[in-house]
Amino acid sequence: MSDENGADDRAPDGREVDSAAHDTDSDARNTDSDGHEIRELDEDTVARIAAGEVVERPASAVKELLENSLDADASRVDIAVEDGGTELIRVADDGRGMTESAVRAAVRQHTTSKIEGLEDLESGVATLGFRGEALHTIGSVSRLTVETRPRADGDGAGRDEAGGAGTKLVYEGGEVTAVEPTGCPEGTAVEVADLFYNTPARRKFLKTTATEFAHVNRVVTRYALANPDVAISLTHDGREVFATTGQGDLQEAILAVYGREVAKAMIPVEADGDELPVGPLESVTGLVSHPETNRSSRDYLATYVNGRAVTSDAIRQGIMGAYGTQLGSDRYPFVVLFLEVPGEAVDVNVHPRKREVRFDDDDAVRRAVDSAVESALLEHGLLRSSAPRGRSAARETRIEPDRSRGGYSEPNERESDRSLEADAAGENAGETSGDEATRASNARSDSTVGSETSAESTANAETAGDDSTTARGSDRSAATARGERSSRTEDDAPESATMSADVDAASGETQSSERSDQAESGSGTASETGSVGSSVERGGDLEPARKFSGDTEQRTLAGEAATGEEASFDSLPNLRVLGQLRDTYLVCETDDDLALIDQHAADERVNYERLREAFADDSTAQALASPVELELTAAEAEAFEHYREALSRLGFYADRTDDRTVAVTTVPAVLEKTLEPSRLRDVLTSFVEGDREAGSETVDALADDFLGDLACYPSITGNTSLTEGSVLELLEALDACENPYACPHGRPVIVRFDEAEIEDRFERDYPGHGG
Amino acid sequence: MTRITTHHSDDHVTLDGTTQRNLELTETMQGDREGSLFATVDHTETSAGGRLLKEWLQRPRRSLSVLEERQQSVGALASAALARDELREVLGAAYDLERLASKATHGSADAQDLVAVRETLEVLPQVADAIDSDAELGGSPLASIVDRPDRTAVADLRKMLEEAIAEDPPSTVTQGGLLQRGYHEELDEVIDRHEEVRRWLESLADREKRQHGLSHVTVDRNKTDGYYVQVGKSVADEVPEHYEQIKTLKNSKRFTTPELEEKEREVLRLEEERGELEYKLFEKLREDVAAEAALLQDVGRAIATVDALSSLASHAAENGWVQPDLRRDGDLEIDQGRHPVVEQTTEFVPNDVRMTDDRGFLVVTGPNMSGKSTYMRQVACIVLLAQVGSFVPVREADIGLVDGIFTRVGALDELAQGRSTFMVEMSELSNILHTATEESLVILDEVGRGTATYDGISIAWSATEYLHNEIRAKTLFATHYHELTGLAEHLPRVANVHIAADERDGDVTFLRTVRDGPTDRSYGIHVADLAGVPAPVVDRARDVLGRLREEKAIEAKGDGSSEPVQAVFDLSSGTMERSATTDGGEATSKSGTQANLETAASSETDADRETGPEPEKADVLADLEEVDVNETSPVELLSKVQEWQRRLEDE
Repeated sequence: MSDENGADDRAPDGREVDSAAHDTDSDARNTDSDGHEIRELDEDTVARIAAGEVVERPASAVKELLENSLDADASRVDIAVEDGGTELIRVADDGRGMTESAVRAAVRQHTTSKIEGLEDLESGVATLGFRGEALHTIGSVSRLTVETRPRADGDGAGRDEAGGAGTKLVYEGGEVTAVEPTGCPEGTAVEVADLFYNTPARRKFLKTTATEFAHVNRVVTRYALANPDVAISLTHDGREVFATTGQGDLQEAILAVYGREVAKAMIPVEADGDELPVGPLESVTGLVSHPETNRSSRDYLATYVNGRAVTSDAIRQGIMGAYGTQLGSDRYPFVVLFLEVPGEAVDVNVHPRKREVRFDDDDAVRRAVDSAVESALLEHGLLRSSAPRGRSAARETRIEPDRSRGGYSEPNERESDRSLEADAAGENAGETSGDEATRASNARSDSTVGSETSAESTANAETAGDDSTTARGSDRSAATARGERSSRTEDDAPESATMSADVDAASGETQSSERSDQAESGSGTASETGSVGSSVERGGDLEPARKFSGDTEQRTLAGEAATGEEASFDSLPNLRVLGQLRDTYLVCETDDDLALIDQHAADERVNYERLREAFADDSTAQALASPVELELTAAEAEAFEHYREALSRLGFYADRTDDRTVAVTTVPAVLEKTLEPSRLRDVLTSFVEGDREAGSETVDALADDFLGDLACYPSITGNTSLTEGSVLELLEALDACENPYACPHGRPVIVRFDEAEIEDRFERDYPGHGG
Repeated sequence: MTRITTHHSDDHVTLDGTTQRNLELTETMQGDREGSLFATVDHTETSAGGRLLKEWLQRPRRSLSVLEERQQSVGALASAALARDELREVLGAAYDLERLASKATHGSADAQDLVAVRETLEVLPQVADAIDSDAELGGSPLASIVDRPDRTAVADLRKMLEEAIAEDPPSTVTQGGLLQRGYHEELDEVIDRHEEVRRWLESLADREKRQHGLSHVTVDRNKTDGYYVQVGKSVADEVPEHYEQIKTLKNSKRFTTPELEEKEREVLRLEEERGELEYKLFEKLREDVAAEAALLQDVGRAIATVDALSSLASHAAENGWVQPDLRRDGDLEIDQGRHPVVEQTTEFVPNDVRMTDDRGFLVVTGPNMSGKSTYMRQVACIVLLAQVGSFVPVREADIGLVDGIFTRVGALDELAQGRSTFMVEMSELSNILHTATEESLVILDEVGRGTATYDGISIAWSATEYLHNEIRAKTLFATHYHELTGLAEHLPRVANVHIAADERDGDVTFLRTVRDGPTDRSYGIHVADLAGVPAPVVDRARDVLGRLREEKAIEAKGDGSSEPVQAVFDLSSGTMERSATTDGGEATSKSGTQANLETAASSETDADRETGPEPEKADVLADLEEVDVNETSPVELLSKVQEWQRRLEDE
């Protein structure tokens, strides 16, 4: 309604506006220094931003909806997703449902039926979802359809009220676009289509279908296990992934989700009140698996606090502590554990996604969990105090040095290794050996070899330990200890004679016999305060502690006399190996710097390239004499579908004999001899877990990825470089690699500290310290 | 076959072929197995189990004790998920013993069949173990099912087979390799000798190579040449003298030697001897097995029963089915029931049904495609499943046992067989009316279609009365004839229910819930609209409907060339007439009329244009005298009276 002269301007809503004033106003406020106008964001944008916090990916949406269903007292929840949830998510329940006005309100922001105000939060939230945003935020980044019908009263009285009709509400782009009656069962069904259709940036960051679905699966599994009295089913692309029966039995829920093999291996945990050590926990209940049933990922540790699925380092540490050495390194049990804690002792509002929790007293929680799980395991006779089962893993990482020097009696052999390490580590030697001593004495108590050597070693270790604890870093006592030990061993160990006989090369054979004798006693956990080889060799002629003496005592682990000989390489810099640190790193000197080489990474690289070559040479698949059947959990089975082609490209063929069982019928000929079928499952699991970027899914790329993962399992691939070869051999093999500097996953193999850096650390440029 | 027993019809629920088809028991209407009730509940692991389950569905039981026993087993299995899972795996290894037994009896079983028998016999103790592993299962009737066959005899037979038949015998029975070592002494000897000669033959090539320094030497056998030594051409000249050449090939030559020939004869003789002996022994073995056919059938039956019960239990556990309360005779009350097949593929809206002594006949009305048929069929399926001993898709159910389920649903055209739709319908109806009893469940869907309106209504009406008064079966009757809703007022045990629909701003939503009372509309036009009938047609239909409801005249729309003509739908003759009489001349019906103008039993008025009160009265009186009350149906009488009243009024 403006006339041509513009003298009668009206704002769009018809208010009259003084045009002049308007202009100056806008100049005065709302512009920053550059003259850009600062405006308030409109509601839609705010919603989308907030949505980004709450709805990060399909799994977040599923979580919110599932929580709503559970809070609505559902006894059945059916979840169906397509394409990992990026295309469609549908969550349908038979809960209380909503009336038309209720559902209209529910999609508005910050509405919730679950808390009244902040006080409710602080006194401990009884329901799962409380932020009141789910429908609103999900709806603002998707096309949302809600079909709901309120539940009638118990005797069916209210059934015909409101016409018995349900309501269908369509919410798109932050707006309600349709509300109409519909025929539907009591309860609520929410459909989320085209997630992130209006936030392309987020959409782009979504991972592959398989990865997104794996996240969804994890979420639903957590709730299914926490609510065994609710029948929860999950379907992906029309295929049922799992379905619990909702009959209230936790073991049955585990059966549905993880399979029978796992369900049979579960042990009940029940500890409350007095049975727990003092602390905030009121009770710890649930099921944990026999240590022999495990996986290489933490995924199957499901922990709940007051019914809410959470992650907490304290809890996890408690669990792993209870299993102690019963599990190999990097192996995790299946756990479904419920902790009850008074509301005030735990903070759940830590994060919008409400998954991490903080306890007032983390340590007490850890101890309580440890105690509860441990007593359950003990009750079932599953804890032993003997040798760790992870021994083979240690063996894999440990390089057996070639020993040619005589005078090394068996127990000292390892101990000398240790010595070099300990020495290399400097002042910490005493401390470390103290710990190691304790471990060793524990480890050895049931040792089956029971030879003098081990007994002595134990005694030695303990003595050494004692000594070292009292006189940390004190050379003298250490030396005494060494002396004692070495003299003792010299006297008693019959084999020492053989030792001294050999000086050089024949070390190979002696090596193996020594090693086999030692097989049962002290693996990687032997301890001692270390003698430098030479001192022992001289048969008790002890020199007071010489950690690193000069050249004469220097020896490479290749066993040559310590001449500090350099090895020359093609791609690696010329190295002189000084020693081994923590069973993990090789300490080397190059022309210019100090280099640390990650043995394991090196081994992986060597293994990977060797595999690649072997596969390139011979890509045949070898049929197994009898197919190996593996029972998979729901997640593994689903993943198997996606990666099947990549696996078959490499030569792994497996038939699905059942929903959850696959029978591996062929393996690559290259691996046939060394492959243990359960290891295959490990590799499958880790392969499946890798978060892959969408688009990196060509079969070839996946196959290559898979090889990289395989390379981490020398026992599968038959890699012997670490266990039998010498350091030098490993380095030579590494040198021969195409890319010796990085492991197949991209982590570095060599890390260097140049001289200048070291000088800096020692502050050698400080006046008066030069040179 | 070892035994033939008669089926007593008293034991089973009458379920004729038509009903089985109508309820899609084992096949859908289209003839697929997928989508049938059987396919839905079939989770059996063995073919015998599947067969048994099918049999159970097709012949539901009437005996309360049998049903309760089955229910107990199903219930125990449904709550023991771990054991059930284990059972499934164990059952998977079982073969079809009934078939194997008959094969053995006929002498057609081969060695692999006997291995199958052995393996299946092993399954029985495993099943027993799995059952014992769970306290509830061990206490249920399952334990006795598994115990019924003679376990010792089973163990013995299994052992005998294990000792006799080889691990992996060939499929032919005449060539040996069937039996184990140590089973028969004489046979072992023959085998030993046979093996010896075979080894000699096999090592011949190497020996010749070494002895004569020949490089390319193989020893082989075929049909034409028998055994021979094959030597590459390059070295063919170096063969020793005693080699006799028998054939020359492209790159090699074949020879034989006297020794070889002798060995050949020996090996052939031994082969034959072995084959014959093994076959004889095998036959005896097979006969032994055949002698135990009854035992095998028992075992097979036990395994099949466990399998079928497990299948029902699995389905119940996975779909939230519940144990129904069974009564010998009594009411049918279902709380929030669902259709067992349809619930698998849709978000199913559950519905109740309540049928008691005073409420034994339900007239179901409602729009097309609203779920009338589904509702009625689900009632039938639920009762059927209950009388199989299974759990049912309800929240709660009290079910009085029936002696038969009868349905007349859908219009299967059998024109090809020379019968029209209506004829078929009538045959089915006839069957029902002859066979149903007070304890039956009857489902009628749209009886009376396919013929002229009045005939249809009449038949429907009288059939209803008959069922209600004489047969007194529990009946669900879906119909389009709104007039039939009037029956509820005349017949005491009739009640109306309808499928609810919501109409707002001209938009109709089918709610799929069932509510008491009759419906007042059919929404036929709405369905036409949904089907895509062109808008002008739909609009006009609505218009006509409105007017008919108000009994107004309709302007028949011509093609525009002539004057519009007022027409009146004369209900008596069922034709449109040009007439000025727009009121009073037509019988009116109290309930709404529909587009196709089916009306209540209307009067059979002649367009009586006689005037004059007295002659009218006299006429009426005369007619009254004529009527033979005993010969006329109440309906007709009613309409006559109405007519007389009208005539009298008109004076």
